[in-house]
Amino acid sequence: MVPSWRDLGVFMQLLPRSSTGERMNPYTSIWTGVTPGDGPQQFHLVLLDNGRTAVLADETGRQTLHCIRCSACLNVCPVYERVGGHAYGSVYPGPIGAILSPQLTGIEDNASLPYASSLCGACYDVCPVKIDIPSVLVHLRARHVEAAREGRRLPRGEAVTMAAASWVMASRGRFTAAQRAAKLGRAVGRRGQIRRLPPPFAGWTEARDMPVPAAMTFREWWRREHRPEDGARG
Amino acid sequence: MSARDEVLSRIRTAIGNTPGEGGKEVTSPRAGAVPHDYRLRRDADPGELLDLFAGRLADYKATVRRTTPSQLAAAIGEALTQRGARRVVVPPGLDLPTLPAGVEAVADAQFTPAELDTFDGTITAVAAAIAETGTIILDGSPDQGRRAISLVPDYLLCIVRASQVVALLPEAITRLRPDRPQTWISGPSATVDIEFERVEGVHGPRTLEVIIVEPS
Ligand code: SF4
Repeated sequence: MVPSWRDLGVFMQLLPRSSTGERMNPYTSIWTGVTPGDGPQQFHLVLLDNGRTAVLADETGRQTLHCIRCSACLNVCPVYERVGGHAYGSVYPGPIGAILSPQLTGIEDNASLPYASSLCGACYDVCPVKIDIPSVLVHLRARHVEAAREGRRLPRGEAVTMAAASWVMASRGRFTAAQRAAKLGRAVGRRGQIRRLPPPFAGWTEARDMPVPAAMTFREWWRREHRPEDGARG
Repeated sequence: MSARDEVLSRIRTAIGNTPGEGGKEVTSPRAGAVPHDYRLRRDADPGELLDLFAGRLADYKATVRRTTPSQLAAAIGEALTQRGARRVVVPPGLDLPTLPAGVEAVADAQFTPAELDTFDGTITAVAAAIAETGTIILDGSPDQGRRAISLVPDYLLCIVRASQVVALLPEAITRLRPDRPQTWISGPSATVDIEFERVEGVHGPRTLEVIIVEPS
């Protein structure tokens, strides 16, 4: 919906250029109710909410409703290029589908969509109405994690791991100790890769190898490169 | 509560816009303050404007003829002869010069789509034209007629007067009446929406021809 007839001019210029790169689409029809003797003599307009007021209520997510369905974000998306339209499980494929569908149907029904993105931002770059799709994706990931936490009495492995990581990273001493401990992993590596991690991390190496931790941490390297006699603080 | 009230009240709740004192609606302070700081007009001399318009049309594979008021009848006759069109439908309000012998122009009498399909083509005037996008706009005025006559026959011949051509789309918007049934045409009808296969004649005629009438 646009505020006035005049404002339609903005979108008549944006839509074809963003959609197919044409100056203008071949045919556009404009209807203002019924014209006696020309075309249909009865006109009904149905306003359908279909979850959209729920989208409107979310301050970060509501920009999704600005979409003019030009499909520019689909055409540049590296994920869409690989997986194609059907993978999005709704009539809205591509980056816009990844943020619209979970908001329309509830995140639980489309929980994987907000994660199916590298957050490269190509969609935001091309969007003619400047929908910040990457930010909405991150926002929806957070909503999904929160919804999942509320639905459970015991925290999941992932939540426990994240909480532990946050505790370790919050202190310099703990972080240094953890890095030192991680270096033990070099002992089990072969040719720079660890094929199998022990539980509870086994899931990570089910489908991929894990590179062995570096022989030296960044801080150790920094200390070596910037000795006090070079005038730098260690 | 009607469905309409329900949807509207949900929208108000969603944007935190509840009716204020005495049920008066609180409107957004931004309402009505849409900035129009994009290109709204382009000053070009008339000849340059018509060249641009004709070039865009040709780029869309429409046939373009340029003529003067005194040569209009000859130009129409030439166009129809080359097309092989002998019987065309015209809006009742279109003021046409006398056409050459052998061409029959029939005023639209609320023909059915099947009847319209028996015509070799349609001739109409236009409401406005946009040079930059090569767009012709019909608005159902008496010299343009019902939408159906411009859509069903497979050949459309539009007569555009030089004064009707503007440079940019926003200029055309200010000339048009939003309450008219409009059809915006930019080149012959074609789409690649389905599987990138080009299909012609989907929304309207496959052949578009434009006669630009310039003051002599
Ligand atoms: S999100 Fe933006 S780029 Fe994608 S279809 Fe909608 S308007 Fe176009």
